[in-house]
Amino acid sequence: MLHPVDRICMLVENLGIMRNVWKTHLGTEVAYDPQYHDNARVEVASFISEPPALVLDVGCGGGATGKILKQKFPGIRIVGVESNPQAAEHARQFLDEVICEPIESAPVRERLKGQLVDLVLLLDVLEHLYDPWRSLLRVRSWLAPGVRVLASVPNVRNLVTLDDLAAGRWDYEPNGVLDITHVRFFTKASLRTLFEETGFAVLEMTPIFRPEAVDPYVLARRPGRLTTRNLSISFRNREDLEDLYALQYVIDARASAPELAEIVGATREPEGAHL
Amino acid sequence: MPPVSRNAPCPCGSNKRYKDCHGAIAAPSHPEAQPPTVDATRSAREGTETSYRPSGPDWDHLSDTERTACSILMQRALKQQLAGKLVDASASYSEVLAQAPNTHDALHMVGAIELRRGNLAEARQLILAAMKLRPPYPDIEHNLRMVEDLLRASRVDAGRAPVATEELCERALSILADLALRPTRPGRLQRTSRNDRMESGQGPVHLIAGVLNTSDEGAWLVWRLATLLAPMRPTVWLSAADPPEVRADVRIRSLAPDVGDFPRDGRLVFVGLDIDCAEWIDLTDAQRILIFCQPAAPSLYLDQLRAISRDGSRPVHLLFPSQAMAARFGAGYSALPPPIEADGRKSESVHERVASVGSTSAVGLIGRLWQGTSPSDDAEFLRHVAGSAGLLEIYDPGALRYTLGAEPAVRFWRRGASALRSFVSEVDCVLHVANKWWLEGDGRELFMAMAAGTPVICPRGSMFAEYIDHGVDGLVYDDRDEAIELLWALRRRPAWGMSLGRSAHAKVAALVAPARMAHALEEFVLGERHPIEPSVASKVRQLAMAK
Repeated sequence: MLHPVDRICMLVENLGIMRNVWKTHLGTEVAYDPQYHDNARVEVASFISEPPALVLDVGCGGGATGKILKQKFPGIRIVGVESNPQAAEHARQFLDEVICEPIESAPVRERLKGQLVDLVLLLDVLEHLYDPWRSLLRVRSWLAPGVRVLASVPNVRNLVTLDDLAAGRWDYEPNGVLDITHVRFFTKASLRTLFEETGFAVLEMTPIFRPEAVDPYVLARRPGRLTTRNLSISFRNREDLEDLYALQYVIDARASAPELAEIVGATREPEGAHL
Repeated sequence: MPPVSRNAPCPCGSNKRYKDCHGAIAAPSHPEAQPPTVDATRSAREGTETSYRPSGPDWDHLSDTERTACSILMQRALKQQLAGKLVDASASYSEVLAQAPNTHDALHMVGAIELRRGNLAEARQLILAAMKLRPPYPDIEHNLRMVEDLLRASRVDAGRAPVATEELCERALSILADLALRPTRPGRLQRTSRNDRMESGQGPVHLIAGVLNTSDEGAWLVWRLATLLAPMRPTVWLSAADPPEVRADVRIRSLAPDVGDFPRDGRLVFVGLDIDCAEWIDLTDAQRILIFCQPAAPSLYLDQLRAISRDGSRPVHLLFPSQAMAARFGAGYSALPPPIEADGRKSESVHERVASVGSTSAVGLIGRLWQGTSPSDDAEFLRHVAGSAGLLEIYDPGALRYTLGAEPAVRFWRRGASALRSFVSEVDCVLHVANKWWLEGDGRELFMAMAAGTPVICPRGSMFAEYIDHGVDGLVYDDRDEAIELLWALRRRPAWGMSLGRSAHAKVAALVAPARMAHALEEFVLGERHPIEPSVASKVRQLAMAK
């Protein structure tokens, strides 16, 4: 026979409600969690058709995505940047080099020693940063014009989050859109602005779906309108409907022309840690 | 029994016309959940405070206070139901039934809600209980028929996995054909069209494109039809506030029924079924209603066709992208291939590249249409496909990015208005997949590939298979193993693929030649004679042979 408190805890856990997630998933010493840091982004690999010679994987975690990229394109070099020491240590077995420092202070330019990066990955990184704008400027300063950047960022305008918010819920979770370590939230439009204001040209923003996560929320779908338990929301067209279903966007951008980057960078490029 | 004319007195004895009484059509988001009580429905829709009263002796035993309470509850329930809040509506109806278990309309509506949720046995019990309290009328008879048909359909499937709503609705399409649709038989049509002409001459033509076909690639059909029908000076109606593109040659209007902006008369041509017309369709006096039935979920067919045809009180004419699809609705419907532009033939240089490479060929796949049942099997099959051809290129890959993103021999194309043309001409063949007919798309990609001289490998069960002569201008496969064998064969003999592609190009060029298309579409819209030849395939074969 379980103690009543344990039974309630079990019940709460079964309901999928994590209490006190701040105690376990937030703080100065966040442990390396293979499930969290070793999430191989196969769908992001699908955006890469040509083998890049040198990849900079910012926020490489345990190196899982780098590992599948190396399988897909044998012979490519990958340099990772990761602030979590345990994750960085784990990533060293897959990547060619791992810089274990936060993006704001990582000595990437020094460690690259003039090698030209072909592709930058920023997978689920920007939403964890207090100042993603200056961090992107910093990334931009490492790159030649035209270098490709692939970033993935959660879309806060998805039906699951909207429906919960409409009901007054904004529950931080150990992962997902409302991951408790997220400090910035973006929509499709604000993501585009984020990149365009920091020296990048956005070519494409591809929504990433998990229909099986969103569909249960939809009670009725009529032409032009969706109804969830707590919300009735109209959509203008297919893109708009897809936006409601998108849990993430993959941003395909290029470092834009040098004049712009210099103008923007000259006034703002921070040296050393900046938070 | 409903009277012959909707303007005749209602058989319930209310002294109202049938169409204003039991034959009224509410604004159903889902036809089977249509609230029956006209006054209450109307007041709920308009937000006025006319209170609900049952049209029978259901509440005679209640006190005045109880009656008022029930009336408020019923009103709330109807409002909730009309707003699509089925859970809340069901709860409100249950409160009424707790006080007055014999409330006919509440029983009927809870039954309708259960039907919507797929709880067929409950739905049947509730509707039968409701029917014991009143003489039957069309709405409730229809709902009962629908429940029983769906029950029958689900019994056929007993032992298999539970059937999804869409699949049940697919089987109910035959009821729909009885109820709402009149096939265009040559003799009938002659009469109708002569009447049409005598009554009205040539009314204006309205292309109604609704919300989803505006800014995405699917808009091609709307604009293509507008171009082909340009001599009839059609008006294009879109529900988006800002038309995505302004075109000098087409009049674009915004569909806004709440301010009275909707087509009032003439020939209404619906482009696709993803159009919300429940608000205004009853108010139009159309001479002729036509629908381009682009693949849509069967539940949408049920919803939209019932609304547009006013439950069968006016004829609608349907045009399908293939005979195979039309046949699902019964005999006598028309078919016309997707009206693509057939230019953009694959250049000879691409052929040369194929011939010189030889050892690998690129097989194209339209990812959006890939709605597999078992992800691991599918991934395995697609890896085989990539291995057999040497390279698999996937256009608009969607969820396939998750399963195949790390494969070196798979490339992904993002969706884009101009990307499709380069995609279909760059690959060496296109593999078509068809798990469910309503997920097959409108055939545009397939026809564009053929027009570009790229042969299509199509499953025999596809609704587009009728356009392909196996071994002549494309390939047809029965199962996945056969598809893999065909891919190997094509890879070994690139010249064979090229000759298939040339025939495919010739066939499509004849089939969708602009003059022929424009003529066929004009006949369909005007209804002057039987619009489209019943057997496109045989006609095409003749054309191809004559060449």
